[in-house]
Amino acid sequence: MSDQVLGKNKPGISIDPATVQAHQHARDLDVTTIWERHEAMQPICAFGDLGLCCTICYMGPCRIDPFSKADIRGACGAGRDTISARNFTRAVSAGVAAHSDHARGICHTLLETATGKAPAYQITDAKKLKRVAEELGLKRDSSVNDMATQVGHKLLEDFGKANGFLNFVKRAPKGQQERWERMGVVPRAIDREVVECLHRTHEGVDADYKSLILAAVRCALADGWGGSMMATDLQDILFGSPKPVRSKVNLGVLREDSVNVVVHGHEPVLSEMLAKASKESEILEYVRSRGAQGVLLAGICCTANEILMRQGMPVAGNFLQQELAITTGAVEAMVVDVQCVMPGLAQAAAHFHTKLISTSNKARIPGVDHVEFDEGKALDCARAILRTAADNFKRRDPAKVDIPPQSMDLVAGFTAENAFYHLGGTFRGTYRPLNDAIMAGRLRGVGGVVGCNTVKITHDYNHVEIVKELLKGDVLVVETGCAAIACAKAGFLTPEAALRYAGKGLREVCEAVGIPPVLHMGACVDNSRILIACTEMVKEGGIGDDISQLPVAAVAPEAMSEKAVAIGLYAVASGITTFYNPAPRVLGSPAVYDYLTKEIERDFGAKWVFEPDAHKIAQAVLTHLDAKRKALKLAPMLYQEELARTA
Amino acid sequence: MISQNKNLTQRRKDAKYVIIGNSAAGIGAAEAIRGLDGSAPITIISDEPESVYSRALISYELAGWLGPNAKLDLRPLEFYQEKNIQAILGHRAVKIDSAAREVHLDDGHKIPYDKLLLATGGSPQKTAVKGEERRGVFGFRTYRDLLNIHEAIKSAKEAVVLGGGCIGLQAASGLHHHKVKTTIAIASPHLLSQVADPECGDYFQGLFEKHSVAVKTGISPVEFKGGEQVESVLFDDGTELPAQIVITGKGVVPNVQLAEGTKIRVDWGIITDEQMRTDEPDIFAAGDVALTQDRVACKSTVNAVWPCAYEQGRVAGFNMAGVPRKYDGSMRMNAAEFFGVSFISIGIVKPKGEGYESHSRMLKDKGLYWKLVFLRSSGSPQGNILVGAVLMGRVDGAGVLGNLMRKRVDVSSIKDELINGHYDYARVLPLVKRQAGVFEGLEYRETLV
Amino acid sequence: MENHRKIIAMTKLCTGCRSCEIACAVAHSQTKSVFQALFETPLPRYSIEVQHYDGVNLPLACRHCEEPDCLFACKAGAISKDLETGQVQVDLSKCVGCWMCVMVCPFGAATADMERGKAVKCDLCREREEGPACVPSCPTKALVHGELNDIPK
Repeated sequence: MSDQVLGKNKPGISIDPATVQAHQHARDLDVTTIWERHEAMQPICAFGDLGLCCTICYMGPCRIDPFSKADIRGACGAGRDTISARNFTRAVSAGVAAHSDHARGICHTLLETATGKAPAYQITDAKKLKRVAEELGLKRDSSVNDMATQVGHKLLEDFGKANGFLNFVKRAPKGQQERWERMGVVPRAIDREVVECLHRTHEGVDADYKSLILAAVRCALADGWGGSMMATDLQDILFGSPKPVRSKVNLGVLREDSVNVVVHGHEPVLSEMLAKASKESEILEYVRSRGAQGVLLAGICCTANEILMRQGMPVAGNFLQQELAITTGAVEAMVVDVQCVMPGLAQAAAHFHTKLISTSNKARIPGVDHVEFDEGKALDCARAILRTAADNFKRRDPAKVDIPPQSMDLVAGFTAENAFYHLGGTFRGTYRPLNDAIMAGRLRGVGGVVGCNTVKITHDYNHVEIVKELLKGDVLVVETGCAAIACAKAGFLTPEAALRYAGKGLREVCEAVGIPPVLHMGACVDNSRILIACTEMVKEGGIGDDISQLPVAAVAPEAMSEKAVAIGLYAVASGITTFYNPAPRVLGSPAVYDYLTKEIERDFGAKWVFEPDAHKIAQAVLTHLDAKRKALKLAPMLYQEELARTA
Repeated sequence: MISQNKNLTQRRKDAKYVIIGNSAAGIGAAEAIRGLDGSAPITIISDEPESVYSRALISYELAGWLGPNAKLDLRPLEFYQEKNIQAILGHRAVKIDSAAREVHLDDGHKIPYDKLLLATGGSPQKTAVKGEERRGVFGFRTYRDLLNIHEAIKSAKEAVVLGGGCIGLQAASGLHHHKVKTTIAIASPHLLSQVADPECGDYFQGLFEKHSVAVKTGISPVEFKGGEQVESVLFDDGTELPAQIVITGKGVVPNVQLAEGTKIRVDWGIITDEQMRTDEPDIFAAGDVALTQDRVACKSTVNAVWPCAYEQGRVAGFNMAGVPRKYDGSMRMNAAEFFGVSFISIGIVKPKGEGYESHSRMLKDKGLYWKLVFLRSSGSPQGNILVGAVLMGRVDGAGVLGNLMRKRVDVSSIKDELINGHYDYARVLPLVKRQAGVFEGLEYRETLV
Repeated sequence: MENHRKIIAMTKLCTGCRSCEIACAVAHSQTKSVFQALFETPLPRYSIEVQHYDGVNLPLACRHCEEPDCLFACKAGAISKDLETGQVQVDLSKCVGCWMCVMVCPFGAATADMERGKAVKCDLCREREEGPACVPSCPTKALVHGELNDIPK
């Protein structure tokens, strides 16, 4: 059943030479990585993979034979549609929970900051705070701390309020809001939606697949226009709205002569403090006293993106590289918080001097040092961690060190607010030049290539191949998460990349403004920036009255987590057709599959497309954008051949 | 085809094996002998000029199942060459001189034998209806019959099939396929009356009628009217059906003619013992010509069905080659499919007499039906053996039931399972475990791991 | 006897997960991918079946018998046995779907594919380079492609 590995188009584990080298080094030292564990796990259970296994109640587990023509039911009478939809809805709920809990944490941090209980933090972007306060109908002429307190409380209400709807729903274009009202999926309160989805999927509650999926939609919207959006805005407020910044990416950023500290996970409340502390002169002195030239803080996954976007900190790698950072033998400490942190790290660290330090009470790993991160003493915590890392420097075994040389330049730091500031080149950021470029046919449209890595697919292959083709097709690409890191490693995030990879129209735009053809917009919660960008494009006008008419698409071609399913669903529900792979365990139910890939378009103006082949995805995206262009009666592409348009 | 069996006794290297008959039984014997003895001369004699073909495929060919380049070959054309068999085709054996050990052919040739097998099969029974000699009245057994029917179809508009068994229904399906307006007319009250209950027969009647094949029950033909060419069939109830093709399906009569002048006893079929021997030493009989012990009916009968014929030929072949082997008995068994509905019937399905117990279930809207017939076993008053099974709509697992019937095992412990339609091999496994002597063989042992 | 290998199940190791059935169906599909195979018409068939009774899980596939009843009963001469490998194979181009084999197989291992009109039975993945698909698919390694003597005690 090795064919379950979708999109494994190239042999080998990764297209990134640094990863290949580090993996080989790991194997030479007998360290087991995710690749070996995945191989040993084959064959994975097809019932599970198809979403036809139900473990919800204790009369089971029940499974449905996908090849039987009989109408097989689980013990309670649930058939393949119910079981598949339930599994899907639970996945969405879990994904929403992850992002939302993160947002709740930031809300609390904002409040602690505003009330002086967390002196290490400050309100960095007061202008954004004011804008948000205004939007929420709060007093805008009070002090910054006062405003922050009010904003914090108001947004905290969004988690559990008894009446009304989420505050940021009003940000969405009218067209989206109307559809959500009509479909009964306007999100009410974040925790409530998660709880209701768990309730619905409990044994003996919702057995109608469409009803379940719509509940999942509402829950996902509570993430996209709720938790994630909140996290993005509050993080901008606390840590500063990103500005274009240069940095470097890949394992080669680690230095033999420095204390290397890798921060991994998702919450900038931790990584921002580590970044801050790492620049302090006392820390530098301490580090030098321990025999190192300096301290290098690099990140993995979303937290890397957070400190990259705002502080220009280098990125060591993306999800599949987390163990390999350790196996370079050059990492004194890996500091982790929540999400995408593999328990396998412990086993990798045990082979080296590396101290694996967990910092969140919510994310414990057996046998690993735990330093509970106290936001009230954030900087002290961060400094202590760095000192521990420095103390560890002398235990590094030079014989085991093997840092792959690859490290690629990149430009990051683009947001919905600033991205087209540059395109405008005038006094204020405006989307007019972007819309004009699309209308004139210089740009085909915008593609959001986002999401994870997965061991099921050759590492980074899909991201890079797809973005390559989109760039050639004059599609402006915006990226977040591990996808952004993948393309950064491949060199797409430099202005020079436009010369090498972009089609003529895209190149013209990039050259005129000095932006890369791929705009890094941040961590995965920052997918909300893409929603705002789309909203701005609608507001600016000329390319669609609501998001579903825009020539835009979302692509998540190496999806791994439940968060990704939630993001995919809120993108579709917001009118953005999403090309997603591998399919989230819905292939066992033709009804659920058909709803997600066909009928949902009637309800929300967009749909899922499940396609494993990278090149087919790219072609399908181009075709999709052309179809949108045709429907808007836009001018033909200036320099591109248009693809056969589908209805 | 058959594994090499090294256990040989009494085999003469230059033994001449002669087999009269080129169908299932004849081939079963030839393959068995050749599998045991790579060099001995084997001769097959058949009055049919065709190379080894499967007469069982005729109805499928007529029904259009075999596709445009239909082959009816039972074995490839190179069969005789590869197996080093001398084939004398298109010549009838007319007499056996058992003293001289020679077979006389119709052209005067005399073929000597050391061991002889009579696998002469059967011929369609004459109906004794007036006008049977008219053109257009056919049996449905040989390749010639098939060719003649195809020829007749070219100009025929209507057909009557006189037979409600599997062969008759297959013939009717075939004629229907060729767009000849067909009526099935039978004396019995329902279709498949020899092999199924009214419930089941009526279901198929509904199916045939839905496909515009008319079915008339309870009538017998009294005359085939017309000139040189048959034009209609007159029945005993006064009905007259126009027909340019009439298929008679009254079963087969064993071709026992060659027994004349020998010691071979005949009682409808040629009498054989457990080793397929006739009363003449060195002469064996197998297939549709042979009387064998019916495994479930426990009486001597001719079970003219393909799998029995082949197996009898095979057993005869073993014994002819000097490897003793017993035939454990035949069973009536039929498998067919009409208009997409499968059908299998084995053994005694319409029991008469004491001690039988029948269970059946018809799920009409699902097109499913099964019937099981048990017999209280004489061995123990509580015991039950399975003696008959009918499956319609879902035939998978029929072989498991057939095997239980063949082995006459006590199925009391799993009777409820069987009745409820659960007869996969796993149900039988406990019996296999407990009765290793009955379920002898490597393959059974492989399931006991 | 030469090496006559077939699929033998160690029933004590069988959890009844039926992964072997899926692997078999996928191996006999057009697309050879479990996700795409579901969209094929007709659906691919599996010829190993996990049966269960009396506390025993029995993955049952054709036994490739030394004296195959199916071969003897086949009206079309479509079934043959390779003397070297012991494999009993159906030539699907000759099979007419008469169901004789279904009627006589003592294990019920030959089944009727009504959609295709052909008999279905384990073919030991004759067209698959890596051999039988069911064996590697078993999460508990309950399936062996071998002879009775190969089974560990």
